[in-house]
Amino acid sequence: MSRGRWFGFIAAMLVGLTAGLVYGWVIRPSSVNNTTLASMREDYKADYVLMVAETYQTSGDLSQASQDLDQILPGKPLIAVQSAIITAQQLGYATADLKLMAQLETALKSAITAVGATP
Amino acid sequence: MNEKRGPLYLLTGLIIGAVIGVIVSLWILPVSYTETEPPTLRTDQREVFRSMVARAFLVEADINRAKARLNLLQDAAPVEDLIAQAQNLLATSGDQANARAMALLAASFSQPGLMITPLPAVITPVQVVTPTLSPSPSVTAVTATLMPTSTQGQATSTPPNVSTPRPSATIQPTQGSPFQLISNDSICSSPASTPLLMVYVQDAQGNPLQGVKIEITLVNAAPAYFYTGLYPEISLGYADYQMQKDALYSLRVGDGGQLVTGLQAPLCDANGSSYPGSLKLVFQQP
Repeated sequence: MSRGRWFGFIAAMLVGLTAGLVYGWVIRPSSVNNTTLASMREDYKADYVLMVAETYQTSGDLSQASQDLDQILPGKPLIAVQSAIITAQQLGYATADLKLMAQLETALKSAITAVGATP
Repeated sequence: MNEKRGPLYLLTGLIIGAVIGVIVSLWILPVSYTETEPPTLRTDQREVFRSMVARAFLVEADINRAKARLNLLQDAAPVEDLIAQAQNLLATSGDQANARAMALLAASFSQPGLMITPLPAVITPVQVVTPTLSPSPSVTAVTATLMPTSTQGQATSTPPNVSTPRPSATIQPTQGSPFQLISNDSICSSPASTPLLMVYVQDAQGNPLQGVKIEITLVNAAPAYFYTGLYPEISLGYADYQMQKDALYSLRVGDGGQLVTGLQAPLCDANGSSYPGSLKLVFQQP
């Protein structure tokens, strides 16, 4: 195949690639009704973390709390709680709620310190 | 030698490129959304959210807050969804704690006057080690605000856990006097119907009670549990269990209630042939 034909072939392929990408990203993107807790807005995540902190307060089950937090930030429960505390403070959460979240944060931090891992 | 071929190579390139583009944009690098809202959650994530709301409700006993949280999902029928999820949870994983939480939340939704006793806290305040453990300055600031430490950086005991205003404790449906069997009736509806153990639970005044745990045991088998309130269209204090023909069951309503033994699907007669019927048991607090 001559050089001109190769050039034409690649140019046509690039045009097709662009059309395919536009189709998948613009014309027919994946449904917006298929999202996860991890993609939620920060204020919703903060309320979710508050719920986790509330259940932890009565169960004392840090493992379960970590699993619950994995839903919004997989593998980083401490950072999830810390981010939520910052958001909660910005949104003016009640002191009682902030204390619950701080308790969970402290427990997670203690657990991480105990095993010598980084958050 | 001259090649005399048409522009088919252009069409081939176009098709190959388009196929690659579609595969990349739909499967390899699909559009991902951020800053989303709960109504857009996929089904399994909605269930996780619903379960968390129910568990938090058991702690706070704040129905208005639970309603506000559950309404974020914008479910068309939140009570029915809660009940369906609770039943599904019991059937698949046997997670009684979660199922009970959802049953109670559903009951509180459909019966506004129903109050539950908040679960007691088991976590005591933890001593803060030092603020230097915080991974970011902003988080350090948060910790310092909430749990102040001494200026020397030494560990100090945190302020005692100040009790916050909570909904006043009221009688929980499963607490109080033990339930007693007041009637046991056989029901022969039709040969095609499923033999059911139908349980109605009432308080001392005869009002139906929701969220009451019922323990049922088949001989030589582990006990199973189900709860009232999952069929509000029948009665708020109603629950049922599908019986096996010729099997003997023991049943207890609530914690420490009367143990009823020897329960069996009654034999009903229809046109000379027999079929297993249902049992209707009514339990009441004395």
